[in-house]
Amino acid sequence: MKFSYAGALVALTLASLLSACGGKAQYTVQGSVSGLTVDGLQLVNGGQTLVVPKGATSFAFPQQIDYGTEYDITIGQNPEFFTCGVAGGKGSAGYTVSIGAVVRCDPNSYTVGGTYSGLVSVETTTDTTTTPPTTTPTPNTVTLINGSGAQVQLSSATATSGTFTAATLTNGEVYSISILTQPKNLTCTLTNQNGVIRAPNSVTNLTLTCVPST
Amino acid sequence: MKNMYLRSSVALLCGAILSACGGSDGSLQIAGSITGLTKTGLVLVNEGNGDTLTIAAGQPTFTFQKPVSVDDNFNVVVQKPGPVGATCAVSGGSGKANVYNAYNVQVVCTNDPRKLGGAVVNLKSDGLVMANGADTVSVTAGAASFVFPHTIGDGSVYGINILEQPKTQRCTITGTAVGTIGNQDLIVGTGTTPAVTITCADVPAT
Repeated sequence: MKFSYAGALVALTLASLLSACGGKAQYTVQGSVSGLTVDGLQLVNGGQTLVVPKGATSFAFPQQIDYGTEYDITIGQNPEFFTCGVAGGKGSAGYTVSIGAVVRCDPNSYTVGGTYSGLVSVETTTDTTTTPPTTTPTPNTVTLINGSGAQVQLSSATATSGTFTAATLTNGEVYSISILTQPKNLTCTLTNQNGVIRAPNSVTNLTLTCVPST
Repeated sequence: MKNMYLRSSVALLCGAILSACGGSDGSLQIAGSITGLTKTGLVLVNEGNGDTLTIAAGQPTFTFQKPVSVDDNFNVVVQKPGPVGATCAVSGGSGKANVYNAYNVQVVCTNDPRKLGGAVVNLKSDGLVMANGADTVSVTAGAASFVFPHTIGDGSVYGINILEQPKTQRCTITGTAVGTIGNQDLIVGTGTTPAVTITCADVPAT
């Protein structure tokens, strides 16, 4: 009984092997997709274009390819404000049992920031171990937060004025920047601190103005 | 020459393997990783031998000092009461000790969730939207309070702003619009104080 099962299995295997050699095995150019929350992705393989809808977790090109045919899956078009990449998308059909490319999509990042001014040092530190003693300005800092999310500290040691980035977000996300800690002896005010990310534009219009406290 | 090296390294390896399996007067030190710990007060205990270990805030890894032998039972747990405002869980923390499980205990800590919100006074118009960073909440006419949809961890900072003003009113924030949340919710409720109060006033139509 056992032997006849084995025999049948061998026969089947041989048959499938033969068909693979002679009958030109066909391979589906396919793979998995992750992070695709929007429409607009187009994959390309050898002149064929495949539209992959939002929410898809897999894809397969309709036309199969023969054993030994080269395939090279590339991004024909990224969804708007997303960037997708293909891993394992290039090879020769039959080199692996089946083709399994991995497509991953991530939303593009946009920064929220602007310019700051008046962040001066108001104290000095004297190092008495040198001769003569050296006096240097003590860095004065202000900390900005995007709610309970991103946090950035600006320091007079870097520059008393310049540009800053307070948060990095994706299209459609809300930002709402606050001053968590004020610098010593200065009062800073923030303008344009609230808004929504409208890709493809980053936000650069925040202004942080620091003046001596009264 | 090459052979000598090979032989001696094989011999060393044999020795190492033998001591790992058979040799056994305490050759293993229970160790692992910690993630998410921002607070002090975490003490781990190996109930197998009573060894205790105090973990500092932010510490990424730990190693118990008292060695254990192969096949000794070990069971790493969080000593009560644990860090204030955080909950830590141990995985892979128990079994009969061997080289595969002794160094792979995982401790994951999460700061306890707190609700953030405020009181609202005299809101007669729709359209008010409050924001704590990317977390937003729409407040409709007549509402006396609001709560942000996402909780934040005990000890987190927050910054509340008015993202959108209501259609026919202008609102202002008083209270602690920027701060650090402690061991209780900052919302309108019994036994809690809201972080902020939003007071709205009519503006004449233009």
